[in-house]
Amino acid sequence: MFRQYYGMVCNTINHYLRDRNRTEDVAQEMFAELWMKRNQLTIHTSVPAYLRRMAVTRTLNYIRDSKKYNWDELESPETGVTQATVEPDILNSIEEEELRRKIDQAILKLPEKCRVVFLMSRMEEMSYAEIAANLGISAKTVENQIGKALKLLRQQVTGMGDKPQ
Amino acid sequence: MKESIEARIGRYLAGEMDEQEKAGFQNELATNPALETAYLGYQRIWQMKPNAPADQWDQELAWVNFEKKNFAAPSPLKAKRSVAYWAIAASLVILSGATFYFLTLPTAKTYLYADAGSSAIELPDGSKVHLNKGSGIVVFPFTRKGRHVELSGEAFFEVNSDTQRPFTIDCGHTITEVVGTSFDLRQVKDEVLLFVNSGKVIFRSGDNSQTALALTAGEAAYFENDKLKMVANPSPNTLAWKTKELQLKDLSLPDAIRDVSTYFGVIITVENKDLNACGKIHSTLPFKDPQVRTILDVIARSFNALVVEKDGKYTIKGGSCN
Repeated sequence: MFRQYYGMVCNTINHYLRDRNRTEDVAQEMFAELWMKRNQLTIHTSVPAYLRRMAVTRTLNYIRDSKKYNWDELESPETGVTQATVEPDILNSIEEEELRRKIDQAILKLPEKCRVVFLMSRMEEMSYAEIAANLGISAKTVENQIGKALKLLRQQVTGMGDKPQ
Repeated sequence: MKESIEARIGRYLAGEMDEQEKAGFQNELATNPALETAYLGYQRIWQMKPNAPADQWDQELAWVNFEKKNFAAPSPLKAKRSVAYWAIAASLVILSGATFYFLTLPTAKTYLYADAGSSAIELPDGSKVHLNKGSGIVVFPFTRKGRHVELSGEAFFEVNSDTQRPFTIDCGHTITEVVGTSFDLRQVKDEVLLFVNSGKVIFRSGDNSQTALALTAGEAAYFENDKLKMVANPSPNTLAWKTKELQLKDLSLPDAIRDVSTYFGVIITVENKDLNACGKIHSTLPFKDPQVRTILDVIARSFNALVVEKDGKYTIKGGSCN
């Protein structure tokens, strides 16, 4: 059981944390918790789905409780752009598979907070309010981080624009 | 503070806008080609569901660390290690609905409850084990001298007679020893209940083998707080989980409620406590594959009471002895 799912659990956690050591710590804690609660567990979904869900929850708790993530000192939102810069139609010409690969890579390069918020929205399909509640930040911050993530992803994918901050 | 265009598109894509704002945004999209271009790009990005990276992890090393941290205490019971392997897997897998059968150590085989329709497990000597929901059993290799298994949860055993090789079951803090018989063994936390269906069974505390009870067909005993005790009137419904048959005949109301509640796994409350002292229920026919509501209606009717269901919990209201 442990051996079979350890890799999957670590990949899930590492998607958020991007830190192998911290990832393995969180994974170990998660399996230890499972072991302790083994008598009270009822799994209604599939085992991998359950473990993935649990891994995400543990990761988000870790992020929330970790001093490393200082959500208070948030940069002001992106300079108020009102007019979208008209880019050549590069993005729309990229092939589906190519774009997927590029986005997956670009996500890993996003700044930490940005990546966490973006993944919570896209992977876990949480609403802004849920994300905010889980991380103890404001919905406005979530909104700004999602906007920033989108902008940086586009820049990365098209290979254009300023370097990610 | 002005909202960035990306943040705004993000809110639209994430479904965070109310109807009015959405309509406004769509309207703007239609009239502002620059915004539309930007939007279409972001929409494509948004629609790509991200994949977690597939990195390599050293699960063997991690397992060693996990073992060190979680199973560090010296194990007093033999083969505890194998149970540890099994238990963590079992606890996760049992209710997943799939059929699982796998090796834990090269020495023992583990079987887990698969689903209600599954057939009995046949052991190497031809004996049969029927597992109840959420239960599992570790079968050690049978030797010339004995047959040994470890049970967690509940199972009905049909053990083939072999006087040369006693059959022993570790369950909770008890050891049950038989030669050839059929019986039911149930463990709930620290309590273990044994019901003998046929033949003869020796029931022992695992920590203190001095304490032992010998039971024959129709008898039951339980182990609780390090003590073994005979059950005065074993419930006729002990095997109901296996036979799918419930009986109410000659049961008092509290006993009937206990059996029905165990069988269906539901909470049942009797509002009128006076009913508990009433006589026995006279319904004679057994219920084959019963519905909870049907059974409770029959029980309630014998006391002129009513059954009320709310959020999956049942209450028996009113009524009298008569």
